[in-house]
Amino acid sequence: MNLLKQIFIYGGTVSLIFLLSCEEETVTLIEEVIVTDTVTVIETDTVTVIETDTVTVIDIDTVLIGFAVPETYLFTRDGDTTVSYSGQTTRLKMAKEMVSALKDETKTIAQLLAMFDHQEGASDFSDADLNASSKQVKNKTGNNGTATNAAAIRADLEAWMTNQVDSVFPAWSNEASKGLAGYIQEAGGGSTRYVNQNGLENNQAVNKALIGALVADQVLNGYLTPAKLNSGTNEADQAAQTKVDGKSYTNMEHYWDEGYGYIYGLAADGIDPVTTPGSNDIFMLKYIGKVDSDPDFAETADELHRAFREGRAAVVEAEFEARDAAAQHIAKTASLVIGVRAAHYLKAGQTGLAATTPDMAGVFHDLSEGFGFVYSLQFTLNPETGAPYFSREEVMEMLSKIYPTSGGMRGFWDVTQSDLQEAATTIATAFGFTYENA
Amino acid sequence: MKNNLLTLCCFTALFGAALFLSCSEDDNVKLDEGSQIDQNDSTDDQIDGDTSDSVDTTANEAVVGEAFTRGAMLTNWADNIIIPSFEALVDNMDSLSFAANKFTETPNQENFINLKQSWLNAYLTWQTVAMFDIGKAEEITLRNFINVYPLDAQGMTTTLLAGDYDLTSVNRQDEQGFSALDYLLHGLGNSDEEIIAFYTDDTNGLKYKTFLTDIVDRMHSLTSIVLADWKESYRDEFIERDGNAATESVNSMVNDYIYYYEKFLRAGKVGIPAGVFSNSSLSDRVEARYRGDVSKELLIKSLISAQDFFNGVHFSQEDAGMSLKGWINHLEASGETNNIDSLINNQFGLIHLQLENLNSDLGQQVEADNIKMLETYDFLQKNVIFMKVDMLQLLDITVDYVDADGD
Repeated sequence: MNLLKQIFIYGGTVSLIFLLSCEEETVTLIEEVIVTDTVTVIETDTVTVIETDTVTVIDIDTVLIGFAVPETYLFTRDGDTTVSYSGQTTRLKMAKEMVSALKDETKTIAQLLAMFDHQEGASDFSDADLNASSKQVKNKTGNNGTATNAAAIRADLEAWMTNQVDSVFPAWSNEASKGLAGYIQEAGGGSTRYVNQNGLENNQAVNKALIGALVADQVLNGYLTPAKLNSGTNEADQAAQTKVDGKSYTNMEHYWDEGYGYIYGLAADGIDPVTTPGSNDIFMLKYIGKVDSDPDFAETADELHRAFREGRAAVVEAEFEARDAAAQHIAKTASLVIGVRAAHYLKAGQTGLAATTPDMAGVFHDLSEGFGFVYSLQFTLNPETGAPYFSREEVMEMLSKIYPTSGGMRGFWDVTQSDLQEAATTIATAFGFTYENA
Repeated sequence: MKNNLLTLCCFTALFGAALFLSCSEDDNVKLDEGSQIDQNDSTDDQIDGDTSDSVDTTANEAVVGEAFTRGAMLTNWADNIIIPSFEALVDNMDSLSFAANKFTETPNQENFINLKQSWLNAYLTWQTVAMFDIGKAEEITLRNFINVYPLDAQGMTTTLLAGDYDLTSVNRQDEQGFSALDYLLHGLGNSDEEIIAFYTDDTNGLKYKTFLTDIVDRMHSLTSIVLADWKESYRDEFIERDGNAATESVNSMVNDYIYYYEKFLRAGKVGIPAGVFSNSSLSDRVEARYRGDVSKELLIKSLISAQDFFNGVHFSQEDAGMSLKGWINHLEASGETNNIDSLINNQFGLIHLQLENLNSDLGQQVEADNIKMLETYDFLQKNVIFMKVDMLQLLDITVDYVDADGD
């Protein structure tokens, strides 16, 4: 940090010398440079300020919000951290074990379903801490819409698990072909994939569907909504800084952090996951990284994390408008991640099918991931409309195009390139990017 | 965020400096100048080093003076490099086929040794065509059927013993080709006698013989199909598609070339065994692992072929025709001269020097002193940057592939 300051001073000095020695026409430009400096310096300084509980509001037109936003997800009160999301980390771990069990052909449907609706103390997982936990995945899956929808969503996931056990596990050492489940290897001695009779990897469908049904739904349609954050006496408690009994945090702070935990709960460094990437995550966080590494969507990871910090700092200050603005920013960015990956995998499948000798295992793998991401679109949230970018009905309609199973059609064995391109383009357009960017 | 902050600082510092330097000349300073400085800076980082102690390997001055056209370059590639390389490979496949049949008819040591030699000859010649994944070779995914390694030895054995196999299935790509032969000729036992015994075994000998000739026949037929297609029709199509669009021959071939260099030469032959992409080194991932002591020879052949292609050197001869090097010279003659061709050739020279430090068995090299393998990888990597970044920028060619998703 000292070095940083030195560079600033150096930069400032050079500019200053320049200011003294140059003609008037360029002064406008210099001002822009100085303003940039100033804004950053304010942020850097105020990080320290917040830790000592004396937040000073500096009113300069380039500062958009009237309180300090820390550079990392580090929030304290009286020297204790106020951030806690262990329940979310637990659920992500459970979901991850369940997904990997879908590739263990010795598992029974009862074992898989028990992992989904785990009961405290049952030996469903390899991790004893998970077995001892009272948390479960199923009751947090798709539960922010109507009860009818929640039941339908859980039934979808269970149907893929059942199909895996009934059709794919018994065919584990058979070669897959159109209409027959089995294994199929990617070209060039690549990975072996296990697909159902229609070319779908059920494990991928479950994995990617949970990014929407568990993660996005809990964050965007649950914890970060004003209805949830303001429930009970939360607003008054926050204004009075009234903590939850026996805890260092307020109820509202905790809700915000629970939302945070669904995305960052498996990060190697939950405090600073952008500067220190790396995680065991196979859900949202993993794909934030993938989208971020695409130059068309650079800075996505940073933007999303910044919005989480802004909103959390706003909660501390009981600045609810700023909090909701940050939540909307999160909704937009997290939804974009799902949209980009959905379009990306459909396009990858289309490109794969266009080859003279298509690598069908590679195509199936891309399309299975795409299938799950398309499914997840129903859990996105467009902050401008307050609705998902695609409704459940629209999603199911789209899935029937990219994975056609009626009239004797065999899913990914029969899908056409034009249907894939059309679906990917529809998604891209809704999020404001293009098929080429996908 | 810290990174951004630092970038911002650098930006500010550089920007300030740029203004400082330029203010005495005129005040027409654009805002994006700072980012340009940034770019130049990073390019400098990449080019940095090794330019001083250059090893001159630019033996071919034949192209100087010859006018550059895409058509001339494509013609040189097709007539003097690609087709003669495939002709040599098919010749080697004829011999391999003959030797395999002779051995299966009379499985003795003399025939076995001849067969092993034929395998090595063909494997070395394969290194000269492996980069030409275009036309029929791309269509039938030749490389995926000829040289996937590591071999799935267990899967191959199961397939072989089961008998009723379909070698055209993608599922069988890692159970055939040169690596399968490597195992069948060197990996079944510790001595020639032990290995030959598999083919004379009363129970399974016939199955081993049949599988051996089946995979040789398949390699023979696939390479013959590609050669025939080049000669009968694809040569003309390849040369006629001489525009500068992404789908035309020059862009496709240059992309195929760099893709081969990056994925199969740099990563496949060196990086993966050295553990560059994994948590630990993987000495059993080297090419021809069962034979062992020829893995470096195969790498050298591949490297020479890549460099010869860059310089337009005719297959198995000293002469050279129009090439990427000639194209670079042509472009640099009328614009900024950065000697990108020398940069690339010098780097090829440095790689060759580095290879002198390696054991002829790259697997043993990984086990004994993997640092030298990692160094080799770093030398190879520099030419990825020179070709994929500097050269493609000059040639105005866009990279048409991305790294795989990885899951």
